[in-house]
Amino acid sequence: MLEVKNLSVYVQHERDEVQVVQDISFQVPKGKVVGIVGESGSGKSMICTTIIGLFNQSRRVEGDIFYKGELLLNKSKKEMRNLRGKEIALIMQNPMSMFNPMLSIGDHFVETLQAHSDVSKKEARLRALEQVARYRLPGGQVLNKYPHELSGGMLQRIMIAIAVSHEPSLLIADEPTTALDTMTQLLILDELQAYRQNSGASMLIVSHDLGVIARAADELIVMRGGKMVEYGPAALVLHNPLHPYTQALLAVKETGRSLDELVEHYDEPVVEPLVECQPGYWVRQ
Amino acid sequence: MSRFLARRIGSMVLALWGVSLLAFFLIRVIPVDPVEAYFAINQLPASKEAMDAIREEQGLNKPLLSQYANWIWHVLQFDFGKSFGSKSDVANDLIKKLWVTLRISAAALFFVVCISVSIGVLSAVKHSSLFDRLTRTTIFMIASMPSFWLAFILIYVVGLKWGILPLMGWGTWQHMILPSLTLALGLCPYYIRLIRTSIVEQMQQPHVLYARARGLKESVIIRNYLLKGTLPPLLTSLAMSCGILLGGAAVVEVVFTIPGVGRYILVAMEARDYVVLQGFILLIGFFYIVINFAADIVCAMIDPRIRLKGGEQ
Repeated sequence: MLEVKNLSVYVQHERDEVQVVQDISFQVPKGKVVGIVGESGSGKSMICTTIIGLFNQSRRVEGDIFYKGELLLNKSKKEMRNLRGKEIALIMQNPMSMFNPMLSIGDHFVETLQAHSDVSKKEARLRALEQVARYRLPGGQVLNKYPHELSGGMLQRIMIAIAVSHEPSLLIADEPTTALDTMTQLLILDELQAYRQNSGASMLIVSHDLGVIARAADELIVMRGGKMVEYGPAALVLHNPLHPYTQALLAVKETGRSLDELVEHYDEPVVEPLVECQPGYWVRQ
Repeated sequence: MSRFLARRIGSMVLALWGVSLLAFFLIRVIPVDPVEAYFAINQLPASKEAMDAIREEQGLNKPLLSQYANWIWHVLQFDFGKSFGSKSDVANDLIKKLWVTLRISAAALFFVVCISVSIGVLSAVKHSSLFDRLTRTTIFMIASMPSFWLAFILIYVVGLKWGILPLMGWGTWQHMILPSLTLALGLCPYYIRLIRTSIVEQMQQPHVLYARARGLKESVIIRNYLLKGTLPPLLTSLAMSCGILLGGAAVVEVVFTIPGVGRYILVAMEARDYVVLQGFILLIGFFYIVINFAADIVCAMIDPRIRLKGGEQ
């Protein structure tokens, strides 16, 4: 479904060019969930926005991104716009600041539906109502509410309902549960899982929270400082991590100690080469 | 919304009362005595008896507070008194002249909106392009020109060289174009910058990124996101500019010989015609406050956050 090959991303920082994503390769097979974990600043979100082509000229991209066998980086602006929201949907972090404060929730549904299909406002409104009912959001009233009248958890669920309204084949969720309470986190993960099971869509979930990833992912990528340190089946990576950084990430929850205590030489960059230790399981050694 | 309205209407009435106080007492503070000025301008022999007779007739010898109460009482019945100099009805005169200025100001605002929205949006969307840099330089040039000079340039180029519009005077709609354009050009630099800055700021908002992530068309983003977000500050500023346009169009009216309120008030000022002056200040203040009130209401209708905040406070 999605294949990322040797992706590097550079951003302009003052006068220098900084490499924020270094030589990343991975695949999201059809119907599978791939998780990316890492601390903030490890380049996770950068990967998401680069895949859907949402960046300005100050970002330079190397490598290839294939979606259904087609090169995304070669596509025109218009072709990318047609993919975004329809084929590839993005669920973003900080839902509180992602909605237009001057538009009602219903308006957000309607404009998203009208962006990719030729429906009247009335039809779009009806489809929004169906969507709201399917995701058990509180009925017709939520469509007339404005973003600031709703909680972050509610907005995140609305964002999911909007994202899947065009039945995308690939969902990219960038920290979908951050800053939400545990109950809402579980609810949101369940909703994402339910969508995947019903539609057979693929998913890329990015989080700094291993707990979130553990619930959802089939395969797992651990990122550090823009590099992959471990990439393999989630069950293996979570239960028997090979790289000390992954071990440390897992230990944070258990021991309650901070990462810089747990990781040796915390300030030094990752230098070991990435080795395929068994088919489909890569680790830096 | 109703609480919001009640609050705003209350503060509007209070502001109007403040304006009436200022209009009345500030003129009394001016060191030149209107009666003396009246005698000097009309070159009448300024005997003490003659001056006292006029003071008696105008009620100027009564205590200030009772003069004020008397004035307000009449103003509430839309009677602004008779001009001290010409003896004509002030309310009548003011409305007639203000109607002229009001139309020029409205046309000027129309030009301001058309010019600055289109240029502001373009230079924001293509910011730091050649177009953006060129407009910025041009804006600086226009902004540093006094309005009478702009007027002369327009008269020379459009009126004389091209000969397509009347140079001066008043009568048809063509007469309105050059003066209102002059007024508009004076305001445009400010508005182009306001719109450009606001839109560039909006473009960096996360909700615009999310709109792009959902694949919205660029035209929809400009309309529903960038322009809509710019509307409240734009409307508030436009309402503020109304005061400048209504009260400060005198220069343009003099250059184009338009019988507007600006010229009328200049004459009244020279004559220290306090009846006209206080009526003018009150009326302009009234328009200004009402226009700003209307702008507030429209902003509240556009932006639900303002509506709610107004109710909670």
